[in-house]
Amino acid sequence: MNTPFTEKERRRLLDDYFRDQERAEELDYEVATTVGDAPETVVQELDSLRDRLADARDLYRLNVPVLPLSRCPITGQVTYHSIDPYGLDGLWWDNQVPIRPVEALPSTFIMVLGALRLGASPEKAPFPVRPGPEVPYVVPEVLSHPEVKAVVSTVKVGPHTAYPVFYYGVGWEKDIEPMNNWGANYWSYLDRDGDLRYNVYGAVPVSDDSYLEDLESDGDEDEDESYTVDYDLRRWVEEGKLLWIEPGDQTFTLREGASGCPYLDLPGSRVFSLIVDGERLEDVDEED
Amino acid sequence: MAVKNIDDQELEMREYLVPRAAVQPLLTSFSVVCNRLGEVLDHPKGDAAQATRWWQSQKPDDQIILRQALTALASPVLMSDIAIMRGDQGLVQTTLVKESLREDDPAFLVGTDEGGENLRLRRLQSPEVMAGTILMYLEAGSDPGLAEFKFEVNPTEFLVLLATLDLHRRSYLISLLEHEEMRPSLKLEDVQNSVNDGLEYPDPRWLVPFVVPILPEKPQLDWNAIWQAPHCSRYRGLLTGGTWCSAYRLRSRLRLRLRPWSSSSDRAPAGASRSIRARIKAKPLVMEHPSSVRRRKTTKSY
Repeated sequence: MNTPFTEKERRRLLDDYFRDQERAEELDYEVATTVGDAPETVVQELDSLRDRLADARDLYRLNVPVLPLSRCPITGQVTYHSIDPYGLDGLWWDNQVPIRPVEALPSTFIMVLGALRLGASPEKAPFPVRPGPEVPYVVPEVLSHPEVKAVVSTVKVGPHTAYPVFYYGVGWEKDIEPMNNWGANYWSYLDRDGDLRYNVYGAVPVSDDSYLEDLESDGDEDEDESYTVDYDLRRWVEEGKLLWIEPGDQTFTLREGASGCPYLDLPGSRVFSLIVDGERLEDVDEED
Repeated sequence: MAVKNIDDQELEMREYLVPRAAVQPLLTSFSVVCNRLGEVLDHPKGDAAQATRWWQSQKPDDQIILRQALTALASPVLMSDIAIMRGDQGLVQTTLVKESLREDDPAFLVGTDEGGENLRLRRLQSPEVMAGTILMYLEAGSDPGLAEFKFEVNPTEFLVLLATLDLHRRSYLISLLEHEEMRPSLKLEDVQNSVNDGLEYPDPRWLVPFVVPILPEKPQLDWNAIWQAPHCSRYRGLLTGGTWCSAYRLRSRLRLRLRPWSSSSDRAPAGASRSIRARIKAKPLVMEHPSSVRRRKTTKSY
C-alpha cells in the first residue's frame, strides 16, 4: 500500500474491513447468545477477525492522507491535517471512533470545525458521520477573543465539498475550551513540545465537582453560556477575524476582506448533518 | 494542557538521516506546499517507490518529526547558513530552517553527510537552542543544548565586540611569541584598528572578517559608534572598565567562551621550558601604550 493510500487501495481496505466487521458482529452476537461455552471454532474465528480489524485500522491510520488544508495567519505555516478525501465512508469520518493519526499542527492551533455540502447521496457506512452543516460557520464566542483568528478553506471529499475552518491564536487557553475536532468526538493534537493534548468538549473532569453547585442552585443564576454558531460570515471577514483561501489555490495564500470572498452567502442547509447508513438526517441536538 | 519550563524539557536532539533522493518524491506524494525560498535547497529527483519504501520503514513516531521536517524544507520562512570556525582549522557548516514566523517555534538544523547522499536533520525546540549550541560548540565542540550564558547586542556593538576579541587573541598570540605575559587591558584605539583591519582583510580565521559577509550590508562605523560600543558592552557585563576609561578588559567567562583556542588565559604556554616560564613569571606586568605594541615585528602591527 502506498503512503498515502490511493483511492483503489482505500476502497479495497474498506471493503475488507466492513465485511470483516459485519462477520465479527455476527459472531459476537452468536457468542453472546450461546448458552454455555461458545464453540471453539467460533471463538477462534472471532479472535482472528478482531486481529485483522485492528491491523486494518492501523493500516488506515498510517496511510490516510495528511493534506494541506489551511494556513496560520500568525506563523504563516501551511496547516497539514489528516482527512479522508475520497468519501464519507472512510474510517476518518466515523464520529464515534474516528481513525486518525496524531496531528502535528502549528503552535497556534486552537481547533478545527467544518461544514460539508453534499454533492451526491452520502456514501453508506456502518457508523454515524457528523460533517457539520452544509455551509461554513464560525463560533462567535471563540472568534471574538482578541487573540484569535480563523481561516476557512475548501477541500473536496469524494463528490462533496467540505469547508474546514481552523481557529488560531495565542494566549487563548485560559479563556477558551476548544470544541471537538471536525467530525470527531474529541479534540486532540500534538503540540510543539511533543505533548499530546486531548480534551472532550463539554465533558466534566472527574476531579471537578463544581457541576454539583449548579444542581444545587435555586435557578436564579444565569446558565453557563454555551457556544453558538454564526453563518453570517461577512461581518467576521470584514473585521479581519476570518480569513479565507481561494478554492483550488495550491499555494494556500491567505486572503482578507469580503471582496471576492466565495464563502459568503453560500447555499445549503444550515442545520448540522447526521449521516447514518447513507442517509442525511438533521442533527438537531448538535445544532442546539 | 501541560506547560513546560524549557530547562526541564528533554530536548529532541536526535539526528535523522533522510536520503536526499527521497525528499522530492515525498514532497510530491504528500502534496506538500513549496515556496520559493525552499527551492534554494534543490533536492534531486528520486524514485517515488524507493522513497515510499524508505518512508514506510520509519517508525510512526519518527514519521511525525520527519513530516514536519519535510514541510519546513519545502516552505521555510527563514533559512540561516551557519558556519562555525573552531580555532583556525575546523569549519562546521549547517543551515537553520524555520517554517514558522513565531519567534520561539521549533526549527530544524539541516546538513548533509560526508557523501552528500543524505540530509542530516535535527529538530531544535526553538532557535534559542541554536544560539546556545553555537556558544557551547565554540567552547568544547559539545552537543546541542541550552547555554547558561547569552546576551543580545546591536550589530555595531557586536562588531566591536568581535574586534575586541580578535585583538585579545592577537595579544595572546603575541605574548606566546614574545615569551611575555599577556596584556589584560585593551586600548580603544587598538579596538578601532582591529575593526578597520577586520573590514579590510577577508581572512575568516579572525572573527570580524568571518562575520562581515553575513551582515546585511558592509558596516560603516564612525569613531563615535566604536567609542560607544565598549561602554554598552560594559553595561551588559561583557567588558570591565571604569566609566570614562579608555581601556577595557574582557570578562573572564567571555574569554573562555569565545576563545577556545586558548587552554589558559594569561599564563605561560604549557610547552614552555622551565627557564622561560621562570623568566615570564619574574617579568612584571606592563600596561603598555598602543604604540609599544606597534613596535613588535612578529605579527601584524597596530
